[in-house]
Amino acid sequence: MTDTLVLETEHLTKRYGPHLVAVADLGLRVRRGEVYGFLGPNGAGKTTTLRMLLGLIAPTSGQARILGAAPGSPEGLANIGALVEGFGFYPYLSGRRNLQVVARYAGVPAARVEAVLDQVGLAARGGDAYKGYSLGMKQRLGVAAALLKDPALLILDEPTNGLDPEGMAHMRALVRQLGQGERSVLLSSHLLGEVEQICDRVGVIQKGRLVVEGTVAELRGQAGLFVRAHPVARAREILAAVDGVGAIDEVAGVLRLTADPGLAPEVNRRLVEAGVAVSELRPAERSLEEVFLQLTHDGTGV
Amino acid sequence: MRASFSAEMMKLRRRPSLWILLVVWFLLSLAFGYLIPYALYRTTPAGMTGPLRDQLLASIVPGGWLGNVVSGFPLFGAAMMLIVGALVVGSEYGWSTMGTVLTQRPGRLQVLGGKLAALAVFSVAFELVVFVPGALASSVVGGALDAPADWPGAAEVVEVFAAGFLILFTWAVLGALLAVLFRGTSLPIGLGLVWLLVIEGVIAGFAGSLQALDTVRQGLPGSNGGSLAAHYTLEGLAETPGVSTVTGPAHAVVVLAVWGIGAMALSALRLRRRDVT
Ligand SMILES: Nc1ncnc2c1ncn2[C@@H]1O[C@H](COP(=O)(O)OP(=O)(O)O)[C@@H](O)[C@H]1O
Ligand SMILES: [Mg+2]
Repeated sequence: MTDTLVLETEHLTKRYGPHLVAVADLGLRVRRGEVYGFLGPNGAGKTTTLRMLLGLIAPTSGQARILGAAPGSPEGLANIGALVEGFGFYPYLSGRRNLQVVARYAGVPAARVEAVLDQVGLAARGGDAYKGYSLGMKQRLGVAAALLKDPALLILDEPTNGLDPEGMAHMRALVRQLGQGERSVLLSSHLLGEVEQICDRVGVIQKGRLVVEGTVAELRGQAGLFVRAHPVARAREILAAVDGVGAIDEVAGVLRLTADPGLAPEVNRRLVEAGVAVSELRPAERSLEEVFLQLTHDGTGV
Repeated sequence: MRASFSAEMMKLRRRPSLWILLVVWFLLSLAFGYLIPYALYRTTPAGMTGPLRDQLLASIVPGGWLGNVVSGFPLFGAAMMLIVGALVVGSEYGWSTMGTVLTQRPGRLQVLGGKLAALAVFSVAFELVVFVPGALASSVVGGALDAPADWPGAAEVVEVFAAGFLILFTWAVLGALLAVLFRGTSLPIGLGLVWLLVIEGVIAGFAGSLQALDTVRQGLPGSNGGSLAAHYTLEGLAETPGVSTVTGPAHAVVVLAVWGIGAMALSALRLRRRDVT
């Protein structure tokens, strides 16, 4: 593993029984300092992968190195903070006391507890019993616990699950802030918008397999321009001759050019000079959602 | 393991169910060990001097203190500690806190070690809350009835305390083992109690007529706890449930230790390998 990778898996596989492959031949690489989005629909194998990375479950085959150590080893865990689906706390203790217990296990000074409660905005309710917490508060406590070690790698498994829109926005802002600086974040999610807003790089997992990986911009694919013009056939001819314009597709009477959106004034001038009426001209960006839907329907790469 | 133990004590100290068990154990031990025998003694007509009345008296005065207290261990104390052991380990599955704990720093065996150390502390606490009030009650009853203050020697106190610890701690780790195996609390508590209160009793019932069962019985944790307690209990108080001489004290100590160490080893093996989901 090179210095720039905080996490690397090779052929990581987990089978449950003879028929179910929860994670299949997964090669995942997270670089130091990046916020990596681990994106996939429910049941894709995200949580299973994260549990293997933390040493909670043993892979059926394949390897993983995390912060240069074997999954679940004390040396690795010392610098990893994790909130994985299904992690719980002691219901009869307050949020603050729960964190104090976790801090003892982690070997972290108790003074960190107040700092992380503050960081997740739970300081005022830290004295309340965990069993009375709302879902949002429980999630925030989970993030607080993951932050106790001030970890080099933060693993968050769908931290916005079950939150209301306000809670989601709050959590996303928190995750974005936590990912600044040196810290690496591995954020799993089934929500594109979330990953699009927060992550530097994205890996898409589908039925246990990594189907595509790249930056958000890479996944969106090449930029382009939408042109609505009349007559269409004449517009096509003219545009084909413009330098910098690649493929031209026509969808429902609208042309989609593969081109730098900065070419828009030039495209407009040429069409107008040729007497073609331009009624619409705008940059075409594939949303990650389109990419995602396409991927998850084909089940293949882009 | 120190971090795990201190984290363990921090959360267990505040756990209401453990305090409830401790208080129930204390109250019932005092009631069955002193209050009821004392009331029986006072209401038995003084003219009817018989072996029962003498035994009652002997058990509630200083000379009978250790035997009286430890006679509650093989069945009642064992059941209590089985529940404690199952709760201390099994709740981590029920509350899904196992994952939270195991992703901190200590390895699985250290976390388990912290729990077993906490169970040892609880075993001592459960002993203290019956031995100390028992001594007070003995001295009060002894004074009221003008009985001789023939307290046991320090060596004997230590010996019975150690024997009591062996019985309680063995059952606590058996509870912990069942919790590791079944990853929860209800099934381990249910099965453990059925074993202790029903199965061992049935085996004991048939052991008289079936030689093979008598041999089996010599290796069971319940009957060996009962034999160990019987060694320190006044003869004739055999009606205390679970207290009966099946084997000698040395045999009982070895068998209980084997069960205890075996349960700890098996818990460690199982916990180390198993997926935590
Ligand atoms: N302990 C388990 N036993 C059997 N199947 C499991 C277990 N855990 C997960 N699975 C299955 O593995 C697949 C992946 O699940 P999971 O990793 O939880 O997906 P995700 O987190 O992406 O929603 C699912 O089909 C799920 O039903
Ligand atoms: Mg999941």
